[in-house]
Amino acid sequence: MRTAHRMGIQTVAVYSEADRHAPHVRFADEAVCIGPAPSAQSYLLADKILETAKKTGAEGIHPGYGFLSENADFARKVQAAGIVFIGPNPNSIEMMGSKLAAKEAAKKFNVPMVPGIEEAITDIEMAKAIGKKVGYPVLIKASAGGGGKGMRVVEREADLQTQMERAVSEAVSAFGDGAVFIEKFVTAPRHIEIQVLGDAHGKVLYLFERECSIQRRHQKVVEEAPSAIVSPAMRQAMGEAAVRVAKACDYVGAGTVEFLVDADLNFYFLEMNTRLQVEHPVTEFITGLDLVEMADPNSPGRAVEPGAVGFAN
Amino acid sequence: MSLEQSDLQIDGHAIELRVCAEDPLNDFLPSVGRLDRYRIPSGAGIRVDDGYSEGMEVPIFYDPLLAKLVVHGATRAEAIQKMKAAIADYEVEGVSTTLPFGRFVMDHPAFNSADFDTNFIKHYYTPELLLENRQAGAAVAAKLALHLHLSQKRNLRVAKQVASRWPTRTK
Repeated sequence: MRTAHRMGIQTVAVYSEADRHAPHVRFADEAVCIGPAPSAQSYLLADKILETAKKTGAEGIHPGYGFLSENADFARKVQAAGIVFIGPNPNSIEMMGSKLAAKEAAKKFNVPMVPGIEEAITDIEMAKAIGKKVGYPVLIKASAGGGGKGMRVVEREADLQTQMERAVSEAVSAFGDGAVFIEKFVTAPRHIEIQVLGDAHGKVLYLFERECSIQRRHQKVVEEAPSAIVSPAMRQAMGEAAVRVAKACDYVGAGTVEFLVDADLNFYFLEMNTRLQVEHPVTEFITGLDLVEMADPNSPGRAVEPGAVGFAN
Repeated sequence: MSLEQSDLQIDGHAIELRVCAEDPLNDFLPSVGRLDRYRIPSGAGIRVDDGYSEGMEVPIFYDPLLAKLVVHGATRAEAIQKMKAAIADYEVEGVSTTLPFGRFVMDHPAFNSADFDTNFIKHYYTPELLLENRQAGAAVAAKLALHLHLSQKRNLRVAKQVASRWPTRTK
């Protein structure tokens, strides 16, 4: 909102009853209440948000963080209504939202991955074979999961069958999809991610790394940039790998490619987040760039037609 | 985009602390309430992205992120020092926050030597340590206050002696 204001763009905030006095409401030129506090009755109502956009004459929608920001259907609906979705194109969101597709893309472009299976499975015998190959402990994780949900660590083969059965049934009830990945469990991993920025002409830059290993409940709490353990050579290797992932899905806008780094400083592709992350200010500080502005297709810094960027698909 | 990869350089070091309305003494569970006092730090290389102000209620819905406290220094050591100072200047009353935990991280040898991984909390953190830190801080404050008091007392005495040697005019 503040960036938009500085760029001379008028803004409309939508809010739930709980956020009546929230800053995004105060900073906006206009604000519309879209429902009661629970997000299912407010921030997740795509049609209500679209209707508000049409009523107020909005030309673009910035999805913010969370809620609908990584929802490909919402992005498509926005476009279909003739409104610019300020974010990556829906196909990129969908591709990286499915870990399977992301891994396929990453594998094709020579990005290192944790040893494991390359396809999601439900079969216990296949799981056992993988466990033997990569060695224990192994990690079982739901193909459709995220943020630590649907993950299980198995210390030895004797526990694999019961853990696998539980993981599959959990994944079915939580995500409607029982397929799981099995991979070697990295016991003392660091979480280091690369900020990338892509334009509609296929140019992708890496804006270095963020060290995000200090976490509570699988959620980051302290982030820093650069990482004290990443050498210039490692930085370049990780950056170039991240660029390959982003290019593999025609990425436009600001995105984050997450890696696990083991104790020997090997790095492995984890997933790609198709949005601006909470921790983006550390990258802004060390690069001197305004990422919110850079991620906006209408930004003067981009050599593209306003409203036409990122929607080629 | 007119930027090229070769245009990009790393300038110094930046650290972010997510200031969440959570209780680090109670498993980082959300802490709700009213911000009876809310003052943010400011200064060169300190940035606070927040959405709250004094007197506001912190609702129980959504993410309990109050603010992002971000600092920038010429080196990592300088950024850590700046973060410590910014945390000290950040005043929040009415809800518990991750600010004391941030201080714990900035003080920890494993963080300072950059020898840590995602198990940092599991390996190094307990609520008791945070309390000890706080008590140690209180003890230091008490000692400082005593020291100040005693030195002032001494100065007063010195002042008296000096005053006694001052030639006084008698009628």
